[in-house]
Amino acid sequence: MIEQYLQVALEFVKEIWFQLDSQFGLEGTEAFKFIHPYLLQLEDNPAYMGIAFAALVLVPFGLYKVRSISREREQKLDDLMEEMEEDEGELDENDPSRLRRPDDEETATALDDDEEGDKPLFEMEEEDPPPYVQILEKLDAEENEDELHVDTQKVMGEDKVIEPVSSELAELQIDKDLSEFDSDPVESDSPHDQTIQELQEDGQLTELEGVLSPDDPFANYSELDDDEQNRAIQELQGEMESTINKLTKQMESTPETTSTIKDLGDIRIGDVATIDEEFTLDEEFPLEEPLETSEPAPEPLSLEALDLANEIEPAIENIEPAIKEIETKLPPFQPVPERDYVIEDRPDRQVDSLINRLKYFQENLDTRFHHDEKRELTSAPKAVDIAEEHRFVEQQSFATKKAPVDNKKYMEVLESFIFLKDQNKHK
Amino acid sequence: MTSQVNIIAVGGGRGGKGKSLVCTHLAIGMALSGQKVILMDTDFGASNLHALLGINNPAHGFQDFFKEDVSNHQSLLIDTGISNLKFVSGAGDNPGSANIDTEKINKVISFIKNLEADTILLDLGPGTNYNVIDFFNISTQNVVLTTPEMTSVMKTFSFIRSALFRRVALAFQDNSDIQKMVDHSNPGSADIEAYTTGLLRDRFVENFPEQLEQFNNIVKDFTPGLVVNRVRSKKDLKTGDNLLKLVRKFLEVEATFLGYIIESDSIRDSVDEMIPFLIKDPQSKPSENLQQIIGALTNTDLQFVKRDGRIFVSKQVRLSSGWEV
Repeated sequence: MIEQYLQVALEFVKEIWFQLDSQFGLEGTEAFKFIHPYLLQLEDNPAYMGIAFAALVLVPFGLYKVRSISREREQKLDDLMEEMEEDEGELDENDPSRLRRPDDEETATALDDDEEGDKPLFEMEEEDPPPYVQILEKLDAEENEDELHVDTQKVMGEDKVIEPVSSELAELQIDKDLSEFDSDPVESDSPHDQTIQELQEDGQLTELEGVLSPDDPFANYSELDDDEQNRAIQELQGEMESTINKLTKQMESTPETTSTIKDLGDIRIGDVATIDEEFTLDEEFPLEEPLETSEPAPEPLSLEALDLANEIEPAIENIEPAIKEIETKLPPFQPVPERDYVIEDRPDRQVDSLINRLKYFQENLDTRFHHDEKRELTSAPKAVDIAEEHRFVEQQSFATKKAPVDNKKYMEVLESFIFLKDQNKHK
Repeated sequence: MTSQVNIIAVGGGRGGKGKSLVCTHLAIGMALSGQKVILMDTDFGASNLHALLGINNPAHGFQDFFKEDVSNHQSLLIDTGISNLKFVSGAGDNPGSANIDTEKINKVISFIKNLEADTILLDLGPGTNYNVIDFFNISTQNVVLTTPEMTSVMKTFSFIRSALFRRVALAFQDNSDIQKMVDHSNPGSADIEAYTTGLLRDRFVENFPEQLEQFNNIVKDFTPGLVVNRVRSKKDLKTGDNLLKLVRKFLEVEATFLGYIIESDSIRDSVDEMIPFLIKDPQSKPSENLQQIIGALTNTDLQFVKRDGRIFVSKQVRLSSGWEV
């Protein structure tokens, strides 16, 4: 029975093949000639045929499945990224708390996402803001004239104030929430502990990179008695205030920099853009120093970087079109993810992105410069070598003979090769 | 039975010029144009035509030429799978096969002359030894092949000179003095002063005036056709022109330029695939070059077109010079 079905199927396939062959002449194609012996084997061996059919079905299905899974994951990732960007967009980029912990934004956003599905652990009531928010509000109240904070309040609004600005801070809150199940809630809710919590967090905030110094008075807080604890708290508070003031002043002060990065505006990018044709060392050297000054910008964006970026921005805006033009001409780099960010309304990302782009630009120029430098360096001795070789060849009485282009000379040379020295009677 | 069979021998002196490839494709082209063609491998000792045609384990080979019981020469013909084209293989040749004596060479020549076909194409071996030259000289149309390299041009010149001098030697076999002038196989007794046709003629005028006319006719009748293979530029083509000038100047031979074949990867691919490029892609540039050469040899204008896996031939016979008269 099965054989009959197979027979019918084979005849059907053959019929299709004959039709296709007569229409398109498939039998004469290279591909058919290549697979022909394999097809014959398939026809002879039912096991091969079965494997082939299975492969024909399973392989495309597997590919489709793999593709669809990866596509779903990419979709999820995109959604998550979009969501994160939306959340970030609502925050004030000038908020110093963001600058302190730029890496924690994602964690915080992730935590926000988790809160929706895992409320018992992360549930937070808006009416009861966490302690660190209280301390921030207190600081804001003390420094009402602080422009940055005014802007932060305007942009962030009341709802956003309650969002954790640091994952670590949020984790502390989580830990606290978890500890509620184990410890006495009265103790944890006491104003004393709350203040300690606030100061702990503020103590961390004074360290831009979040690393506590070994001589931190708050480090061994639990081992101190009440008076010492109070003193430590006061010291920490004072230190925190002074740091914030320092930072605010630094941000407010107009940058009168001596950085040579301003010279970027004077760089003749047009010359660099045509680097392939008109590359000269003179044009390349001035680029070295100014661009190098931009390189030390730390990856987690600091205030210094922001200042530097403010300086760079005008120059960068001038060279932006030129950079784009160069990028199209230059060989492909590794992708720079920062390029995808919206630059206009995100100064920190803009600076980050531009600094990265400048870095790549600089690296590429350096690569080309060094490459050309090497080529020049290697070519110079080479010329000497050639001269040496030439001299050597001449000493050995060898002459480089090349087939003459002129027909008459070619014929003469040919004759000289055909006949002996004495065979000149024909001339 | 001696028929008016057209024998075309393809030689050239140096090895590696593409003689076998060109000879095979000339045979295929002529067969496709409707002639009954026999392709014969006379490169004894290094035969390879069967490989170019994709014939595995040929049924007959070199040894069969010398079997006493081979009554019917046609029985040695091998089918090539191409209409009108049969093949005589030289496969199965053992080391030393290239050094068979004159008697055996004559036996093979007799075999060739008794074949029934419109055209017989002989693929010659390399070099200028008499076993090769004698096959070249039995042909009615001589084709010499060269490549643009100077060494190749030199070898082709030497080949043409050897063929011419061998013709003279065979024509005056009874005259030992003439033999000394034209046969330098015995250097001790050879007169090596007559190394060009002009110098040879001077000797004939001086010593053998009664044979001068015959000598002149031999020179006049020798009109090999030249094919330049592996051409990459116009400059390469000039080497062919230079060779013709050289031949005319020193040998007084009016060689004709039959055409050229460009250097192409498709040719090498076709050899690797054992599919003649004229069949694989008759509209490719090398195929067009080959069609022009066949046209020059057969006095026709040929055009091969491949459609739906089938090759169609357009053939137009050129009018002879009789119209001009």
